[in-house]
Amino acid sequence: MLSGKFVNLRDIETKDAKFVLSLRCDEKKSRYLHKTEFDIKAQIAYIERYKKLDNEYYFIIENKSGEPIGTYRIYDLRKDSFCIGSWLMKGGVSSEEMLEGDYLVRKFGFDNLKFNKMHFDVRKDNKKVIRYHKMMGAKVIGETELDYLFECTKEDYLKHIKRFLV
Amino acid sequence: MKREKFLEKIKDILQYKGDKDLTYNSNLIDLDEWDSLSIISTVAFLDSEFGKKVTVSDLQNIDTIEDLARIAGV
Repeated sequence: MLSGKFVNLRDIETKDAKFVLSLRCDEKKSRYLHKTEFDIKAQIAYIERYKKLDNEYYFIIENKSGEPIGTYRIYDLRKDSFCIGSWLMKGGVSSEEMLEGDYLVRKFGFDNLKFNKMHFDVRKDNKKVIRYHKMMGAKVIGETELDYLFECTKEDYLKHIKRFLV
Repeated sequence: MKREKFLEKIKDILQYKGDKDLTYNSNLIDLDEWDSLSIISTVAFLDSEFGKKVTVSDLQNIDTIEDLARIAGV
């Protein structure tokens, strides 16, 4: 578990299946993600399959009361870069909780997994998230019909996140 | 920055697509769009455009767009 001032980060467990689906099947929150059916058994099976992998990390972000408030995943580990995705936060979370959850996941990728760079894609119409990633030092390195492809170095991220962390 | 432009920038940060027109008296707390991402973007906007250093917690309990304009000095 990684512990911060506002949130903790822990590995996902099968008991989290319902929470994950509550986010992934929320029409508004998941409009930029692949469609997921509200199927608890399938979600539990997905988590069990994930648990056997050694090249992916699926996190639950908890508030300091231990209540799950978000999900985040690291996957597609390349020679010099890791990919982030499946970032969903419950409605009503504070900006500090959101920022720190994101910070702890990136810190895990940079410090624990020893990468100096990350990559990810964002739907072109997801303007708020695009703005957020640019504020955090990410750069567009390409695009597909649907997505912008981003890269962000550890150095750039740490330089930009500094102003927001308290 | 003029007040009209300021309001446009806030609408853009919020990605506001509601039915009601946003005005300086619009209550941010009542808007779904005033979420954690919008608050973070507003912190950056106030800093980069007006040199005003605020934290996300400063903005968490702010009421109206007028309150933001007051911070910016618009």
